[in-house]
Amino acid sequence: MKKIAIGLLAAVAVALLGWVYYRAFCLSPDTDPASILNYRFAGAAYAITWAIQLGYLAWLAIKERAQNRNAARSRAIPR
Amino acid sequence: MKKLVTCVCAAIAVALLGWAFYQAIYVAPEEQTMHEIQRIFYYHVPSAMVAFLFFAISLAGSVAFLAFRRNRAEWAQAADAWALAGAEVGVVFCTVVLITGPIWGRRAWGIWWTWDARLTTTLVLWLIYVSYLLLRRFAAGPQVQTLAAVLGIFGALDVPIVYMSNRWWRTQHPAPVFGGGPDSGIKDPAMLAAFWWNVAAWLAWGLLILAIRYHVERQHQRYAAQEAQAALDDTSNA
Repeated sequence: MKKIAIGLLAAVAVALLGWVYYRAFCLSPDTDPASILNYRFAGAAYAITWAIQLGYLAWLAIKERAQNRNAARSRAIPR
Repeated sequence: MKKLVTCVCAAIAVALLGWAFYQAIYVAPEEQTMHEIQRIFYYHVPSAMVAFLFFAISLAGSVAFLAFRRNRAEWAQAADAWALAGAEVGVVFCTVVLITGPIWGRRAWGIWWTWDARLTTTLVLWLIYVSYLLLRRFAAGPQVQTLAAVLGIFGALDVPIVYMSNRWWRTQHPAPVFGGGPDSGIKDPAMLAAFWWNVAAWLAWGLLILAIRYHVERQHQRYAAQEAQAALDDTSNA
């Protein structure tokens, strides 16, 4: 289940990156420069939002894993 | 069972986020004056609303911790975990607000930042809760939870000031979209729908990561208690 969740999140991240790239750099040639900048800035804002949220979720997962590992290790040490 | 519930909640939150994203980018019409850049609104405002909610949860947890810390230790620990989870997830959403806002401002106003009341009070709110998290992370001793609870309560006092700042003072930041007078509100139904879908989606996502953070903190408390008990047993055996 954990692997599915990680895969899903990675797929979301890759899809978002692709979308931002498409939106920022694959505009039609007759788009005016102000509109190009608007598309790029909006795309950047969306990408940064997702990067922060997914980054925090990944940090939480790493923290929980390290916590469980430390607890298991301290239980294994004979007193 | 617990894992299944978490997975179902996560699936709902991700589906909602996907739908809300589609609504914001492809369904909502382009705004007439700001054009494409206005779409940042669908992430910026819901993130601010969710951040305020989580700071309120942190406030409730801090008050409950101070109320229960002498007579109901287990309740106090749970309240402290809610306070920490609320503050941390609130900081994440507040960071999104403080980054997406200047990106929007650069295109709309021509500047990244200005020291107006709304922006400054939001930055102060973020700094207060970052200092709360630093206190939790680096301070040691039996009084840390109490000190953090007091700081959490003081930090929450800034939330209504942030909310009212563009009503009390003239600001570069736009007037309130909702509840800002007879002309306020979103007139286009497609824009309004996109906005509320994004509020629902980010709220669902926020509640999911809040629950995960609470679970991690409770686990940390249990391990810390077990280690303290083991150390006590060792001392009494020696």
